[in-house]
Formats: sequence, C-alpha cells, structure tokens
Amino acid sequence: MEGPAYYDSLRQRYASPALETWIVGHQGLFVLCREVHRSLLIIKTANEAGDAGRVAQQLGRLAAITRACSVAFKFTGNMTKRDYKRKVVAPMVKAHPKFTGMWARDHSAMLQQLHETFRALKGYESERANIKLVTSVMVKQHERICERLTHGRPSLNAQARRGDIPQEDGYLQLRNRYGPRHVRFIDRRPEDS
Amino acid sequence: MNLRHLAIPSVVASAPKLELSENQKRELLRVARMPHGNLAAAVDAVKNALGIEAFDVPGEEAPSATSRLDTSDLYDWFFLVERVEIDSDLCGVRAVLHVLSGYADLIAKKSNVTDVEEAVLVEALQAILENYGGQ
Repeated sequence: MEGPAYYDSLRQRYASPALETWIVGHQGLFVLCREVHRSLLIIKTANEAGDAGRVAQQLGRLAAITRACSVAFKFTGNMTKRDYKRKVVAPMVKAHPKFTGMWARDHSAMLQQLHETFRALKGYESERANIKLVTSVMVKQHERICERLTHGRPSLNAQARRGDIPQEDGYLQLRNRYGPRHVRFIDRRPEDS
Repeated sequence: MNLRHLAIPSVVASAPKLELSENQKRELLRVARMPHGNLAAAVDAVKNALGIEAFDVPGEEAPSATSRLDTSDLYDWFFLVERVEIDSDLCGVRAVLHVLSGYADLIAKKSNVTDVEEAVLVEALQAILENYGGQ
C-alpha cells in the first residue's frame, strides 16, 4: 500500500481524539499562518505605497490573527505526553521516519515574509516593535508546546546542525533568525553576525 | 496574491479560483461583525452569508493518487493538505471557514478551551474577512 491510501490507513489505525486534535489543529495552523503571511505582505506593500493608515489598520489585524495562532498552537498540542507519544508520534514516524515533533517547514514561508516585512519597515521603529511584539507571543507559544511534548527528543536544531534534514529552509529560518531566542535577533541576517 | 508553500486543507484547495464580488465581501463583513455566541455560530453565520453554492463545487472528494498533493512532502498526505500558489478570495475564505469549523467541533467536545480563547478565534475570523473584504 502506498500514496494517499497508506496515509489514510495510518489515520484509521491510530484514530483517537489526540490524533484528531493534532490533524485538525495543524490544518488550522497552516491556514492561520497563511493569513499572518498575507497580513505581513499587506503591511509591506502598504508601507511601500506610503499608506500609513493601511499599515496601522493591518497591524491591528495582524495582532488578532497572531493571537489566534497562539490559541491554535495550544489547541494542537492539547494532549497528554502519553497520548502524544502513542497516538501522534507513532503514526507520524510511519508517515516520515525523521519526524521529531518540531517540523518547521510549514511555517517557513510565514517566517520569511516576517523577515522581509521587517526589513522593509527599516526606519519605522514603532511598527517594527509592534510586529516583534505580536509575533513573539505566537512563536513563544509554539516553543512552549514543542518543549513540553518533545523534551529530551532529538531536536529540530540538532538535526539541522547535522545536516540530515531534507528541507532546510524552514529549519534554518528558525535556527538562524527566530529561535529559540528569536526576538532579539529578528532583524539580523546570518551575515550580520 | 502568491503565497508559496503554505498549505490549506485539500477539500478546499481545488475550489474555483474565484474572487468574491463586492456585495459578497460587504455581506460577509457585516455578518462577521455581528455579535455571536460562540465560534460555531460565527462560522455558521458566515457560511450562510457566503451561500450554499460557494460550497457546492468540485474537489470535495478525498485525495487520490492523481491529486495535486505535493508528493515530495509526505506530511501533506497525512494532514490532508495541499500547497497552492494561486490564491483566490473564495479559496481562502473557504479554507478559513473549514478549519475554524473543525476547531468549533473540537471545542464542542472538550472543555479545555476558555471563553477568551474562543473569542480570540472569533475575532481572528473577523480580522481575516476584513482583509478579504479589502477594508
């Protein structure tokens, strides 16, 4: 068995409230991250057009969506460590043998846009501080969930350092620019350090 | 709007690449801004405002071996999501409604989501629709 049928069989074999929460939670996170990306892009283009009102308006919406992301992160990881190990890690490892619970690829586009928007706002310190504040809450919540569920397991960053991960951009975005102490380094590129 | 890599549920990814009319946008915003008792009520109200025809579109089937899922990322199949590069109002709004509807179902089964957290999700629905509404 291969392809979608295999993944369907995994979902059925490990069907549980924990796995349902994990999948539905992630689908929501992917879409909310997409909307964060959209807001950041609107802020960047509005700033380039000199539309300060639209930038201010969008900062409010960005705050609302990132708060929802924080809730979604909590929601997605809302299970016991035992359920996480038996009902989530087991099928996820079968879906991908390198699963660690700290997969970042799906957030990488949002993080790249965060970086681009932040650089585009150079000179607008109030707006930059605002973005830093609202996104730090979201990322910190993600870190907190990851730390709780994957404590002691091989970390995302350890894999990145070993160079044995297939898609590096998301991991490196997190490691080099945003995590775990991303807030202090959000406006620094690797070549700056 | 081109949003690379970010995934959306496969059941909505193949929705027609249609933009909402100005009337539809205004109506969605009006409904989203009304007070709602909970997330489920807010999502249902917006779905009703969008109209049943917006959900009666091809592509609701489960993914097949020939679907447009990104086979280079095995997790896409596991999570039942697709990566779309061409965005549209209808596709985006349906994705938001789909996932928040899923959240509302889970919230109904559990008591570990606070009222404030649920209100945050409703607020996000409003904020997202304001972006699609262009206001």
